[in-house]
Amino acid sequence: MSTDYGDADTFLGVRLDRFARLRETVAGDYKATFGLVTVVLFVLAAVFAPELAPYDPMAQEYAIMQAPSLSSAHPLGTDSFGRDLLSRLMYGARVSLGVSLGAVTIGAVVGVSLGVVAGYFGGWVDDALMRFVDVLWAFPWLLVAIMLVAVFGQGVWNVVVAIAFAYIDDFARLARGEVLSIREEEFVLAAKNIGLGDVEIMTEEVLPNAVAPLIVQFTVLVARAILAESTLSFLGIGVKPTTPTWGALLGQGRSLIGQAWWISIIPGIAIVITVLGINLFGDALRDAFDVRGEEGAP
Amino acid sequence: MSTTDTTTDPDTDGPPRELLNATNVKKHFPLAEGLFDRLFGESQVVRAVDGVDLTVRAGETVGIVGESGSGKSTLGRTVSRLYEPTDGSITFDGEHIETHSGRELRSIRRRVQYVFQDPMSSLNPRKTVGESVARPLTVHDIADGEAKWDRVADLFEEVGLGRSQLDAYPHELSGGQRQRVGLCRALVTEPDLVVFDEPVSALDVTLQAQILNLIDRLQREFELSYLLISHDLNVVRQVCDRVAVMYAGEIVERGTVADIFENPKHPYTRALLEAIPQVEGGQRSGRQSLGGEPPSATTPPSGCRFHPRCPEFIDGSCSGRTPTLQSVEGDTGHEAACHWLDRSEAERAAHTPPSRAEREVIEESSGD
Amino acid sequence: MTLLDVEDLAVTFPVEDGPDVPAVDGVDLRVEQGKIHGLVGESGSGKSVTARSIMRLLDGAEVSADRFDYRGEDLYAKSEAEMRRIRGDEIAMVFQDALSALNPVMTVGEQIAEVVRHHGDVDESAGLLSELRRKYVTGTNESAPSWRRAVDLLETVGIPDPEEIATSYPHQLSGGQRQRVMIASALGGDPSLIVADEPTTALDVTVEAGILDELRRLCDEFDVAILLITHDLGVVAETCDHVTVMYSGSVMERGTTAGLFENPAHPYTKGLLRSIPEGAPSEDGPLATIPGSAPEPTERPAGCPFRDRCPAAFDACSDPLPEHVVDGGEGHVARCHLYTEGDDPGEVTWETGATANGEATDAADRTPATEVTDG
Repeated sequence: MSTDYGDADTFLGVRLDRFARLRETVAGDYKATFGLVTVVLFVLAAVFAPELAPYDPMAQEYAIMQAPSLSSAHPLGTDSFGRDLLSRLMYGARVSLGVSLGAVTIGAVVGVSLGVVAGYFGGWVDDALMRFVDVLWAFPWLLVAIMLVAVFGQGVWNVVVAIAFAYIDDFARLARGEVLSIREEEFVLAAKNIGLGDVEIMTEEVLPNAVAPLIVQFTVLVARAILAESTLSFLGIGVKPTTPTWGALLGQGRSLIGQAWWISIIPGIAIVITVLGINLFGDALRDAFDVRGEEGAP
Repeated sequence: MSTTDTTTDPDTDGPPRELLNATNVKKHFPLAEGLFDRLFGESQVVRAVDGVDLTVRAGETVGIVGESGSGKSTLGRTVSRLYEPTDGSITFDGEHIETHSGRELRSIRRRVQYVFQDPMSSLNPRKTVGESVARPLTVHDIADGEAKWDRVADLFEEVGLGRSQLDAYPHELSGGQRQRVGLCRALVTEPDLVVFDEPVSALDVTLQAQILNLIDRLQREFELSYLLISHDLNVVRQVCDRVAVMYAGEIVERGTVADIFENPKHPYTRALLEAIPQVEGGQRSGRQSLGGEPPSATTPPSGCRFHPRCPEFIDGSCSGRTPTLQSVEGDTGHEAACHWLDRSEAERAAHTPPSRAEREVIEESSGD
Repeated sequence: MTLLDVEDLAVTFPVEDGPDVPAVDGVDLRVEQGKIHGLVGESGSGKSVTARSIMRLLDGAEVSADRFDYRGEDLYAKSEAEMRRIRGDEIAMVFQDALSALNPVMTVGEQIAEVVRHHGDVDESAGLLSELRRKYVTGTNESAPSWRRAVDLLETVGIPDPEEIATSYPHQLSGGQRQRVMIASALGGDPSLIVADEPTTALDVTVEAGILDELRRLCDEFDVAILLITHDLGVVAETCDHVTVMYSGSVMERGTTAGLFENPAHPYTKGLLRSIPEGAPSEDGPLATIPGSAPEPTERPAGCPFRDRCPAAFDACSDPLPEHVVDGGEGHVARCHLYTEGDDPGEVTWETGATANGEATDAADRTPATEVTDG
């Protein structure tokens, strides 16, 4: 007799039947499908850039500088140094993905922890933590980013931390709001009734029920982080200037919009599509994770 | 239906041991107020439970009956230590638990369990019901791994749920099934005392009967003691051995089921019995219904809290002096808190209560 | 006279990506003037849907009936404008949760006065401009006839200090008082029929008794018919003149209250009565229960919906429900194949198949029906 009941099959801590629900959600909705396809392409391009990129992103071929898209062996064209745009785009995706995921993850971990603790305990703990979050929120992130980069120099981690700062208050406030209403639910009292302690209640009972809006927020912010990283790179204070990030690519083609528009526009389109796709995928994720959203659910 | 023999304790052949003993328990909730009120005004407090004595002996089912505002739910939550009492003492199997916390409290939780009224809201919607029921076993280090799941599955079958429902989420089950899950969660640690808060109020009549039968059977099988809180006198009559009637945070009458239902002494108990819609007895026209509203929990009426609505109001003693629980006749355990117990039955039967105007005069003079 | 005459009502809710939900399937209902008619059933029986169909408050549902007459006229042939007049003037509704049914930002008196102006017989303007003026600027003048009537109505429904209560907001009142306010508001248009959907379910027993007394008194004194929807058989027994018992979208039995409770015919009614914990506990211990639970509307068995839980089901039960007048009181009808016309319910018996401890059993596990004795 199967002993699988109760300990349902899981993968990395996520129940397998959630994936099935995700598949259903995506299959039924063309927006979600688009989102998923975009995200997958983005991640594949980023991860397998070294294998998939047709050219070395740094290789300069003076013979075919500023070649328009689809005009030669370079499907997306080349920039003013004869470097292949497609390959640079793919390598750029690595940075975008890495930085944005890193930044939002850090922001989420710190922010959600603060928010959950503040919301759960209330009182002076809530006041103290939220005032701290308010201080973070008050700083305009671009200035913080510039300051950090100016002080600590350019580099991936500095950019990641700089961007993460901007998102801590988002997560903290969102998490706290959710927790405030969840902690009044009867099942939290029931958890106390069976002897669970505060930490256990926060992690087992409260947090899983607060997750849905946090996931959507996560994906929204990943998209925003890609934009943020692009902004920093465009301004020249992003990661190492020679790395082909999407923002840097945008910046490099800025002066050539008239003659070789593809050098800027193509990365711009890539940013737009990726950000849109991530947002749509985030919606689908939220729907799939929301157990209550099922038929017959309250 | 209550067929447990509570007259002798199987271990010692003496009277059954007291499992739960609550003395003068009070639970007050401060009203949230602005700064000004706190500094300059008087702090208002909701006196949900205001001095209650309660005993539950091993193997018996004690019912607490009352309407909204009576404090019955708060009492149930306080004696099972979901709340900490504001005053009074609570002993469980001889051990004082009113100030327990942390690990001490956790060990009590294994033996005193609480079944919530609404099984939908008392189950975590993100956990399967199997996980919710199994959790107490790991909290108290009773069982783990496969042994844990076997225990849970067996319990599910015991209450009429299928093993396959272990993986279901609360919203996938029906009301009756959820109620059974709530029962399982309370019973999985094999407690000694289970407190039920309106176990069947949210269910249809036919389901009510099923669950009541189940609760009864489980009591016999697992040798449990019950404290059952309900507003439904019929349910209490069916399941309980002894009953306490609550009004405005106090117990106004207590006794065996027979005492309360066949020989009620407190005017509120009588009014309550009169008011229940019954199938037997035909049309209700001509019956007196109790007017008024339950009293304010922050400023209860002086003297007997029931006096403003009492159809048997006597005089200034009702509004001036709080009656205490006294024995009705002899030493049967039937007690009521009413000034009529100091007078004769004949006098009571012949009494006509004063009119509203007269009452107001009396209350004014007794400083109400 | 028969105020409301409904024959073969069926209500279906269309569902996206799924089978339609047949909430009500073949219901007859007749409400007499000046009488209280109890519509009783458990959750999922369709009683609330039936009630709302009377007010034509079922948007999106498909409603069909052989007859749906109010005072002899087809309600479903009327235009929405005519219905708006009927709602309030002729038929009024009282809901279960007074707090959400009442406007929280208007005083109680205002709300009743508004009903009176629109549906009652007062000589006062109720046009859009004057209403807006009242709502946002002046309120209703205390000497206006609509206000006086509102106060009168509050007094009529047993609220003490009606002048003062009229200036209160709903959240300042207790549950019982709010329910009385709803009743007063329903009376504001001098209706002939009040549809009360579980009016006392959320109230304490002592408060409930008062409200039920009030309804009874109103019915007797003002000749208002009341359709009382409830799941509580005790309420029906104490308050209603007639009763209709519903189960899973169909009527199982109906008749006078006295007749039906004295001589219940349908196995469902009998089972229901037996499972109520009332009176002294039975000597045989546990309550007799009806095992299992009601079927989903989309999964109803053909014929009698109670078939799968009925201790007396037999082959004929898969045929459409009959309509047999039984000898148990005036107009006592049992929709059950165990009966033929004119049977005495007291003499038709069968073995109860309910398990003693009330555990749910699969329909397949049930012992097949035994003999039915007749006469």
